[in-house]
Amino acid sequence: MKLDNTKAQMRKGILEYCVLLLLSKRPLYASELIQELKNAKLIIVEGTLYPLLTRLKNAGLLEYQWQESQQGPPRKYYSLTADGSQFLEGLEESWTELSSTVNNIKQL
Amino acid sequence: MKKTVFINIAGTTFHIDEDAYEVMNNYLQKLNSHFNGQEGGVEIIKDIEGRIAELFIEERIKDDSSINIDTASRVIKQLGDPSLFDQDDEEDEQKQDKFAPQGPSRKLFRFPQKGVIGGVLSGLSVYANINIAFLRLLLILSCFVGGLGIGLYIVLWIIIPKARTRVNYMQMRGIAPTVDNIQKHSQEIDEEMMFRSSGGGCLKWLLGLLLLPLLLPFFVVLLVIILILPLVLLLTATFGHITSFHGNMFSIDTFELSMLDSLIVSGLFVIPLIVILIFKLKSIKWDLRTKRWVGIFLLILWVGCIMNTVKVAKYYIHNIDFDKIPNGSWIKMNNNSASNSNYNCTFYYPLKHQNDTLWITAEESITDKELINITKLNIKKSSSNNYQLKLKASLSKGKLTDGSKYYKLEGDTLYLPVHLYEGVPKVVGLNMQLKVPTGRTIFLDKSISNILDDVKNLDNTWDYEMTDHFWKQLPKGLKKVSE
Repeated sequence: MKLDNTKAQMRKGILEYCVLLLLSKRPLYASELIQELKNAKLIIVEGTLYPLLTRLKNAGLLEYQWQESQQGPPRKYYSLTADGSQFLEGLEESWTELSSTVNNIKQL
Repeated sequence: MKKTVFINIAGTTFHIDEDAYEVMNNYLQKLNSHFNGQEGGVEIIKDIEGRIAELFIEERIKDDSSINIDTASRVIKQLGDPSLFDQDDEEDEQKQDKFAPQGPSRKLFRFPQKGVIGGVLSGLSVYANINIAFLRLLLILSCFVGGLGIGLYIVLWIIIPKARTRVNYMQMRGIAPTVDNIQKHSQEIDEEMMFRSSGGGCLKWLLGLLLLPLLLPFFVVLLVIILILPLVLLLTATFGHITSFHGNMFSIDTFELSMLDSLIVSGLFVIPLIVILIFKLKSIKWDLRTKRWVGIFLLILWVGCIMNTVKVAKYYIHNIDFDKIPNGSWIKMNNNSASNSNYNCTFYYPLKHQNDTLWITAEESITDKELINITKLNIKKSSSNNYQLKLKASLSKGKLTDGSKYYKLEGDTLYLPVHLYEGVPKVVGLNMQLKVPTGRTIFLDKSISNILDDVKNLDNTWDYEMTDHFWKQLPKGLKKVSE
């Protein structure tokens, strides 16, 4: 049992939640998301994000709009759909529960 | 000096060093195979390419020169290996297992930095992990087999590409050209790449200057001889050579190119063509496990073809010079088919006869029913100025060797063989064809009336009524000469 491995699994578990959370505030494109997630040390390799975004989009939780960029290729700005907002609410509840459970256990 | 290439990622064009390009290309291929078939896979790859373009643009703002290998490596590291992308924990370990043993495939390159002439052998030795001294010995030895080694070397020199980039060197050794590996092996690779650039450069320069212009025409001529000679010989109509001469008896060995021999000779040309095609189509991507044996098999087959062609060509190399045979000589024909398993023998015999009339007869009248059934004589127009006798014999056992065939051209009389059928070998069919040049006249003796087979003539005369008459070969056909 390696510590790194467990850490990675914990990160993976909340990555989806954090992506949705970030996008609920304002539409972002992939590189901005990467920057935020990297700052929060939630991802190590950038490639992880792309399959996740595509999966969420195909599940109908995200939608995107193309926007031209000053330099480089056009950007996909992702935002939450109505389904996505609902999904996020569900996750919020679960997170609150989890975090209070953890806190309770710690204080035992 | 570095070679750079143009690439287009997500609609933006970049200038990129060649080795960086290969690393990048390798990474994208890995992505492709990872996401291939996955839902939304194409879209994911497009998104990642967009990110690569963004990162490259950032780099270009900082430094206007081409994308180098360090930048490419950094970008790839930043994006991460596809095996790290997966979200589901259970699948994760399986996926990594699946990727690990897939291993890198080897590619064959020439390695001139370590070689003497073109680096073919040094490349082969690295590729197949064989001692180079052994290969060199093999090449030198094979040069004595009809110059085989030289021809082989030149062909390989032409079709195998030179290892130019660091990635090439890693592919040659079967090291996956990943970022980690490049960093890990860069020192040893650079050492090997530079192997000859200081001390060896002079030797290389000398070799290039002196040897190549001198030896190249020699090599080319040799190659042409090895490859073209059998083909030319194939096209020559009559083969054989005079083996002995006793009194007025000539012994002639004749040959017929069997099906097997034809295949062998054509293999000489077809196999390199196949190899070149494979190389071109696959752009020299030889997968170590699946396709290496194909190459080795073809190589062995080709070497076999060359050796057999040399053997076959030795038979054909002596053309019969029929002009040397005086009229009235007995001609004994030995069948020495190169494959030695041929029971259908065809012989051509140009009859050197200049007088106006040729008398066609058998030494004794052919009346034996069995003989009549299997013997046929047809008469046709000759395209040359000489008479020709073509004889096709089918044998049920044995071979036509000594004493089995006797023809006699005595004065103006041609005696057809009638003793052919006695004893072993057993002849079960004999088709004779006499070709008569235009303007000449033949007399058909009664003794052969039973073996004439549907001879076309301008008078529409039946075969059995054609004997005992003179026939003149006109451009349109045989015409009876009225006495």
